[in-house]
Amino acid sequence: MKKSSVFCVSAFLLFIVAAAVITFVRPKDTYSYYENRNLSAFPERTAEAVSDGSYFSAIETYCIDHAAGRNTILKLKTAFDTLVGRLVISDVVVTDDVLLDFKDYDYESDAEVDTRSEWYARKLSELTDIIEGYGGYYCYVGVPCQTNYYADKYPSYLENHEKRTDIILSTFTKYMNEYGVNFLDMGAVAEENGNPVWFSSTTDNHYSLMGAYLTYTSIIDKINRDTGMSLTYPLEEDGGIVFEKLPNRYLGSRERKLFGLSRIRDSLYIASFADDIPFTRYDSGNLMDSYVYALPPDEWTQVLYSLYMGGDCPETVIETSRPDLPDILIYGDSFTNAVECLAYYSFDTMYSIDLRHYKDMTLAEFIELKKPDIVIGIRDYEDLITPYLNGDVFGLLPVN
Amino acid sequence: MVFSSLPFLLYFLPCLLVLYYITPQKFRSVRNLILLAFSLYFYRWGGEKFLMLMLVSICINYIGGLLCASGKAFVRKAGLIFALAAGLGLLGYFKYAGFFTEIANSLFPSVEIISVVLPIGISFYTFQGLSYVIDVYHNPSLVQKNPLKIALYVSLFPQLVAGPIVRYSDVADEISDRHESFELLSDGCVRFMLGLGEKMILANTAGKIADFVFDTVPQDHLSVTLAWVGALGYTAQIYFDFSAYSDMAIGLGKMFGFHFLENFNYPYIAKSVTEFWRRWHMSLSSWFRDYLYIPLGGNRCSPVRHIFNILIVWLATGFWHGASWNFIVWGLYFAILLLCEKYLTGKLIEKLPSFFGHFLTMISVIISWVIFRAADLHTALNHLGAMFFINADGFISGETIYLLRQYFPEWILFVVASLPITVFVRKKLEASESKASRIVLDWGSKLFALAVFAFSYIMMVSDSFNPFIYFRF
Repeated sequence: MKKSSVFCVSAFLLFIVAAAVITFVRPKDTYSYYENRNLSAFPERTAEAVSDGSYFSAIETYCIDHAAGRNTILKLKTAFDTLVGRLVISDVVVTDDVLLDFKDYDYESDAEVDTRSEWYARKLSELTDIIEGYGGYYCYVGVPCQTNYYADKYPSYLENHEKRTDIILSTFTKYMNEYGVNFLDMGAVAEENGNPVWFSSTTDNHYSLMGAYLTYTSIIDKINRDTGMSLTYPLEEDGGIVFEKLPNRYLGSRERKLFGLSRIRDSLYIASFADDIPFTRYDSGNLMDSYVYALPPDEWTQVLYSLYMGGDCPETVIETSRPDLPDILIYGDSFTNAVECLAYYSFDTMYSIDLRHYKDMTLAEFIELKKPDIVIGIRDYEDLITPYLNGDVFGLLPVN
Repeated sequence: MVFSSLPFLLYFLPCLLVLYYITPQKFRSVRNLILLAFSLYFYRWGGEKFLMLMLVSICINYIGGLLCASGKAFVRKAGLIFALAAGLGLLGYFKYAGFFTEIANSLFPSVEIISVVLPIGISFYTFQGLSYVIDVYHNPSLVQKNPLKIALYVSLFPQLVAGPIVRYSDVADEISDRHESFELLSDGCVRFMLGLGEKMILANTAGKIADFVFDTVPQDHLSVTLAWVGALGYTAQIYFDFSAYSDMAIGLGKMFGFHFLENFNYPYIAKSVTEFWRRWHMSLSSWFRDYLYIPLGGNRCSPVRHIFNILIVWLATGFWHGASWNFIVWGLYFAILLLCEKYLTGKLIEKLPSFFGHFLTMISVIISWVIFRAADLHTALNHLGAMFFINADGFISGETIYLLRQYFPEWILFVVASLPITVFVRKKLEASESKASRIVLDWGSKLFALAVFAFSYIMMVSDSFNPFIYFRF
């Protein structure tokens, strides 16, 4: 027997046996932090699943999800992809100063976009009719997500959805005007402000807290303009609001996909008001601690965008017990969370609904039940006319 | 189950190796039973209902073999007809019923289209089983009366679902009496690890490129270069995917003392289409040569008859790959190319510098893979049109640059791995008598295989894109 053969066979067998044993005995996680997804559970054995092979396929998925050294392996793969100079790693476009989302190439025709824009604007006009029917006010707010905000950072050969976003915005704005639905385009507001670098995160899909503040104040200004109300908000230059940068490492959603191995860094901010606004918070009907920032226990703990409002929640109610102020309902995607951290300042009761998780009734039914004075929908450009989940205000469509 | 899956690598293979090798070598039949049991379990992984079908196929071949070994001529003939009719009948129903009823439905709408799920590997094990029956028909002394040995021959897991198609005569002796050794086990491990790397590193990446172009880009958005990138991606995928599976099968066979014949021999260095088919899927080519082409008369007949024979063989080859017009056209396309080389251009190409032969062969092969890969003939024609500036959406597009830039290291590896560089290096080292050469020869491939294996494991765990395209055949 050659020494090389003994070494080769031993190394091969040792590797597979060790990997098998470790995979089998290691404690099974249910959630992958960096991938931000639930890991598969061991499949249930049924006669049908065994017969058609789906049971065994599910075991294969389970083994991959719980393989020995999985997190280390995923980090190694990310490091290797960086080393060989891949531009797109784990669906993240790595540029010199921004981590962007890899977008599918867009083949949707202008006519299809037009049809979708018209349909969605019409649905929002029906929602507006309901709200205005009891004397309320509705405004739909479109915010540029990071992809749109840094569209010019993409290499020319990658899809940045700029062209499609432009078409969506122009057609959708046209139909919103035709149907008489209030629409606030935060992209235009940001542009009026010189597209400040602080508006959007460099490592996460969302805007920064300052971007959320600009959104919040723009919404209040629009409400005041459209309704004649005199709602107020705290001004930074007056010391009414102070932004504080957290010392903690901020793991943006893109950076998270890269297992924190990117050299691009961003920070999270919190804000404090000069005026003390005591409030009571309820999540899905349960009384909670009075917080809007889920602060980490120490400065070494990584923080995520879920710092704002503690992440997505089906239904949140913040009561400030100031009945002279109007009530507001904010619905939309996770972009609402950072705005909500600030917006309760201007209202008596602030309702927040996340239709991805809220299943008790449709948004339209919720509105008819609570009759909030003001209803604000906040959605990012990528989902501006998407009728699913948070866009499905009448509960017309099945999930996905 | 696929070889490049964790359940196979971490549980199936170690369990089998342990059970197999703790059984003393003298208990050959026990070792064979262990192999048979694991092979059946391996196949069951793809769906229990298909296991029954394979057992039926084994029974057909066993009974057919016994009848073909009979002393009476009519019994032998009946046995052959029975095995052919039953084996091809099952294959025909499960693989082609949908296709034929679709055609019938287009002519007579009252005919209902039959929808049948294709059992994994049915084309491979059917042909393998038939080769046994036909061989016994011609040489009754080959008959195997032990049904377990026939079952092991047909179901032996390394080559069960994607070949190579092993002739019974090639492994009959080894089923009954083979000699496992540590060196063979080591060779098998090295071959398996290299095959796994070929699959995980090359084939899967090539598959991503091909799927991107063929499955996500609408036909009217194909630029000239993107159409070529897609075609080249699939050219790489089909070779590395299938060749990797064959390498792993050969390696696994060696681990258990079997010597399967090679299935690929650097086909993309061929200088003619005829040479390409001597290097590509050799077990299938030789099957059709021995069991169809030669019985039809081969080339020892009139040119007209020869042309007819070639057309029949390639029609069957195309149809073997799948029940669709694409495969039929693909087969006939190769028949025409081979006939052209034989009767028209062959001598001319031989006189030209070898570069021209190689270039023309590769272009012909790449075109064939577009026909093979496209969803239907219309799509294939559109794609080929775009490759040659007909109705293309410009010359270059962002997608082209992305696919070239993103997978730049793999594009280089595709070229390197398609060339017999390792064969060249090995020959050089063997020719040298220095100590360093001997050490590199002894340790080089093993250390390289282990490194490739470690990287393959990373790919298996980190990337869920892991198709095996030849399974559907």
